[in-house]
Amino acid sequence: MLEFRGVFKGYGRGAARRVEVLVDLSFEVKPGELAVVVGPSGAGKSTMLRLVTGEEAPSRGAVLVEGVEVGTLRRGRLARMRRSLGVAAQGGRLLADRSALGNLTFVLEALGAGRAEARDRALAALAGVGLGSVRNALPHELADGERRRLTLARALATRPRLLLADEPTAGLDPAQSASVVSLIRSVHARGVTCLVTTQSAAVARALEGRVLQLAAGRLRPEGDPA
Amino acid sequence: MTLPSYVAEATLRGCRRAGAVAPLLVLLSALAVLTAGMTLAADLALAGAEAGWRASLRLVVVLRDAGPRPEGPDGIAARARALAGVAAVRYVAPDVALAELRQLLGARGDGLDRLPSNPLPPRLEVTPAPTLEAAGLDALVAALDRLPGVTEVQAARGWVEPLERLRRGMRVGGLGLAAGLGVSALAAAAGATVTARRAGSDETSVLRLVGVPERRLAAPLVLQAVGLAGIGSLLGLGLLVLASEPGAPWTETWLRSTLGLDPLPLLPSHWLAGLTSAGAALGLVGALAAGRA
Repeated sequence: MLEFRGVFKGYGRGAARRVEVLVDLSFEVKPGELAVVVGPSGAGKSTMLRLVTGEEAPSRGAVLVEGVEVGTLRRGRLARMRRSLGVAAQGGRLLADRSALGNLTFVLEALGAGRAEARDRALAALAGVGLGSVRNALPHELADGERRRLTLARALATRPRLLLADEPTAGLDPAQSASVVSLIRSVHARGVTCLVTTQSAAVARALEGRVLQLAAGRLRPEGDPA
Repeated sequence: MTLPSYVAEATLRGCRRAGAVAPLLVLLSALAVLTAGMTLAADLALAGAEAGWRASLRLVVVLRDAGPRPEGPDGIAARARALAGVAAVRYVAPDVALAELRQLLGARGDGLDRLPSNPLPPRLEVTPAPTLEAAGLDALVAALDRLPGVTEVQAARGWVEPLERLRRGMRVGGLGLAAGLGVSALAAAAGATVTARRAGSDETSVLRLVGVPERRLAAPLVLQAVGLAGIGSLLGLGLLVLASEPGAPWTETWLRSTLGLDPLPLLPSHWLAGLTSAGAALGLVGALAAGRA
């Protein structure tokens, strides 16, 4: 489903200014699998996800989604590939002037769903994350945990085959965090492949997926204690 | 179908987001179309008037001696007819000239019968080609003057060159002004596109990330610019029609009292369609230019 093959990603030119964010990253996430990448802030987790979405290209190596190398895709095919992803980015990228429901229907209608279909799917997605009662609230009227769940709902409303969740529990209290973890587990249980990043080892354990430890841009061998 | 409604809604949102640049684009497109249309209509009116004046323009070649067979194959009329820029030549013999004068004067021409001899010389009446410009007309007069047996060439052609200059100046000035307004409209279209794109950058980044095709993201921006420029063009077209003969029942008095103008002739429909399309195309080019930037 998703594969990193010897991926390097760096910024800056010249040996002195060059910063390597990801170093020789190789791993695979199989269809239906839940993989959790754990690492401290600055470990390269968000960069890793941006390589999957094609927002950035690796300096070396290849990222493959469903066997297709993301870095080689032209705009049209990149957009098609992105339609198979559900991205719950850090910060949410929620549209401040649209309600919770509007955030979802806007995306679905732009993707070509009919108005009624978009509304039905959005309502179902909101209900699925427990936000049915606040569907008309604007993002700033929601609690942090609700905003995270709204971000997940938007990612799931497009019925992705691969869910990418970037630190979905960051900044949440334990109860909110547990609710988000439970939500991701239920998504995974429905057969959606998931790649989740987190700084919290406790969240990684709670997700009950395969844990990959990332530090300073390098993956630790699986089973190696942090 | 939702996609058209999504695109329509996104287009309207873009128009709102373009802010003050949107009405500016409408105004500039309208003025560009109106200016170009009025220039072309005024030129058409002058061309019509000129054609009428030209139809009655005659070069009168007064002859000292018409020769034995003035209308024969080698006669003076044939030689005049062979000159460049001549549409028609009529030979008027002295007795025909006298009869025409008598007819012209009517009862006041009684004295002509008492003359001892016909004082009128033979002449040629030359009709220049309608497309002949002032310089060509001068050259024709000079060539006629050089024909053997010619006393003088009389031609009331002093108005041709100033009229030509007026039409040329009006075309260059009017169309130049229209082009300037068109370029400003183009810049406004680009500005409206950039403003709307910046204002909607959050939405665009979300839509791009979920895989909405680039064309679908760009379509509302392009349609917005084309739509605004198109509205401006139609507005300009409407004003042009009001200033033309079909709008005269409503605007004739106003045009005469305020601008001292008669209603302009209505341009042919394919010209009007061309002007409107050109106005809308300003939006398209402006939006595409902004997209490339």
